[in-house]
Amino acid sequence: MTAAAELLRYVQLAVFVAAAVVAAIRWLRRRGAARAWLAATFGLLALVVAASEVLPVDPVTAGDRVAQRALVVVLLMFPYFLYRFTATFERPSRALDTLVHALTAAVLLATVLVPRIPGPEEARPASFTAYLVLFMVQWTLLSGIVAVRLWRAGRGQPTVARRRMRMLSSGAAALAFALVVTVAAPSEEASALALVVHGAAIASAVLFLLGFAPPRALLRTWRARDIEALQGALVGLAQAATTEDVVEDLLPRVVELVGARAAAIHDDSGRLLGRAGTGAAEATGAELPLIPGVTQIGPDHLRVSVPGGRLELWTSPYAPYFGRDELELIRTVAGLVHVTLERTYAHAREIAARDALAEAQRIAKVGSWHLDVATDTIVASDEMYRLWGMEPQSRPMTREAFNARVHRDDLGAVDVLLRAIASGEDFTNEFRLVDDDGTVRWIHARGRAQRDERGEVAALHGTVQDVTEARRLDQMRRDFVANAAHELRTPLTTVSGMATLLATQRDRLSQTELDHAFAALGRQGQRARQLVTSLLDLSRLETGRVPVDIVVVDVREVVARALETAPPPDGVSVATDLDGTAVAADPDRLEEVVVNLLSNAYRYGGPHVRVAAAADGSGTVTLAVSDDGAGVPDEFVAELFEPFTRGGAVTGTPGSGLGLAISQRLARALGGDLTYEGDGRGARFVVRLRSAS
Amino acid sequence: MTRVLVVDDEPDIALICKLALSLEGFEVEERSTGQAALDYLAENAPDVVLLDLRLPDLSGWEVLDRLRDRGQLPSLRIVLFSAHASAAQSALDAGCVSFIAKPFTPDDLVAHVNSAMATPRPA
Repeated sequence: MTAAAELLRYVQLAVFVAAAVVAAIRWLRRRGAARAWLAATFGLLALVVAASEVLPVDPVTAGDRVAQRALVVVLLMFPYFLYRFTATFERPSRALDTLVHALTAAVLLATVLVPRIPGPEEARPASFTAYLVLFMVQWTLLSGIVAVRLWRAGRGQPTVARRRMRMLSSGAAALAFALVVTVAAPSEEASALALVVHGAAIASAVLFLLGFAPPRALLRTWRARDIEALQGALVGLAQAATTEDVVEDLLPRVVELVGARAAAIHDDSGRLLGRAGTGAAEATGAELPLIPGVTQIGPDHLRVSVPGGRLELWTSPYAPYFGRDELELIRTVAGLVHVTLERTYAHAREIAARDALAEAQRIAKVGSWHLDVATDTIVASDEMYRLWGMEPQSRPMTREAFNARVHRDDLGAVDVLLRAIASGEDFTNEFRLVDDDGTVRWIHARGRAQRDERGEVAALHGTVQDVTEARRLDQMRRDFVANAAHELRTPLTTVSGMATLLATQRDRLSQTELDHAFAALGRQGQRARQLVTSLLDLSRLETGRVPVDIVVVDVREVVARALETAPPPDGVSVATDLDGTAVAADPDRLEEVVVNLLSNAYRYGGPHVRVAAAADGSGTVTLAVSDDGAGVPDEFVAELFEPFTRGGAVTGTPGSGLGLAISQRLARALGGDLTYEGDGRGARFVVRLRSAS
Repeated sequence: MTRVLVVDDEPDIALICKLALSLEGFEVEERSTGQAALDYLAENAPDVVLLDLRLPDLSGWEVLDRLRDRGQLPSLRIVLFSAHASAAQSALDAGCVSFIAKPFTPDDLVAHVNSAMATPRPA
């Protein structure tokens, strides 16, 4: 029995010294109030246990007595220091604090004042018994407070923090129990009880050790459920599409897993991506590297650097310090978070780039394709499918599908194109596609072969562009030049012919013939001049080089001036219906348009011409010139405003065929438009202008 | 006296034709539409017809078609004129004796009429 008790005493001594050393190392490494109080607590306890080995049980000398008293004082400070350690997590109420301090001061005073401490075999005087009661009250009360507070602090905390709190709580309770038994037990049964006391004390020390420095195996067991939850989250993250998914799913779990107060994640540029938990503050302390990649940047603030950004953690008051194991776990988790974030960024960038390319192709009407020579499969872009009249990616773009749309006469050209590309030449070609409704579109195709490292053709790349509109415009330009030249032939024939006749045959012509000849010369010279002027006007309008001077204009004045410039010929009457309408326009340009419309009405329309203006109440004024003639034949309407479109059944000197083209472009230069709105009861041209009222 | 019919809707072209040809001693008649020309030809048989391809009512080709339908075409010496030089071969194929491209000089015109006159036609 005694031997066992002796052994236990040494084990107890070893455990308490170990606890003191571990606590001291923790404090030296990381500092902080909680670690300081814990180091002090266990340092004290180890000191007491070690000193009691050295000091005699029955003090003989005065020095022994002083040492004995000093040891008791130190022992008294143990529950107090433990209380202070607990208080660093959560401040106790002022009343509790006062009670604890008063009680501790009283016991300290009593320890100094108690006249004599009796030996184990001696009878205890009443005063000493009273002191013992006071001593036990202080010890058990403080230990009880500590145990309860630590236990409650663990409630609702993540597994690791909760278990650690409860270990510390149980340690405090076990130590109080050991002391109560020691003091209260009758001394005769000391050897039997010594086993219980030592056992409780060892258990207490072990519990404390497990509480503030749990071994990895234990942590792993405690953390098993949290890790399972984390793994579940990580599996979910594999499908996360956006940064928000990552931040919302993972950060709260990281906080729970390591028992932190809050966590925040930043990207490379320092931008905050997300935050979980509350009360996060800015970094305030000196930087203290803990393990590679993890730095303490404040009393309760850690920074974990990972490729692509950083994770910041704020420690909870209940789990104030992280062990190496937790730090490594945090680093792993932070790495995973950033890997996932990188993936979502890459995904977002890829989608944005693909969308931008598809949109660009759509705008430019350019499709792209590539042919893998090894597998003979064509991969076509969405726009290429659209050009080929197919739902994008609805079926494979096979050679057959490709050829199905190509104009029969152009299949040979397409074959030449593909063979040229396959042989490694860069090649361009144009061919026609025929839509279901028979519409023909021109496609400009370019291609290039891509060679592998051996120089063999590995893939063919190409673009296809709808150039129908470009070809139409090109045709129009060529027609325009031909038409302009054609229009100049009549005046040229007349002018040069008359000049020749007058030069060679003048004497043989009668006065009347001479008069006619000179009149024709004048007319055709004038006509050529007008035509050239009109062509220049049109050219300037189309390149936007016509200066317009927009002012507030009264439509009535413009129409009145136009009627002076172009009065109705005999047999034609003009009626006006003009409200006092103010418009924003260039008066000279607007007059040009009205003169043109009036001349057209006189030339092609019926005998009754009407000019009417009205505001539509939404900022637009319409000025309509209409007549009661036959109207514009249907076949002319579509190209009415194209240059050199001209009504046929008119004798005499025709206009240049440019009037309406110029008028429409002028109206547009004024911020409005000119349209034809015939309804089968004569022609009706409508100028839309911006209201100035 | 040799009679020439000029069919053109441009009065000044018709005028220059008339001046140039009458100075050479031709008798010139003018019409400005296809229909007016057909009406005149139904009653008269000029020695040469100068026909513009572009007319306000009928095209020169349509005028030629009507004349062929009436069986009158082989008896006429028709000189077509147009701004489109590409119409030359079509004009000969359609039964014209020659083709003048605009712009032309008065000498061109007289030369064409003279060479047309040299082409034999059944009466």
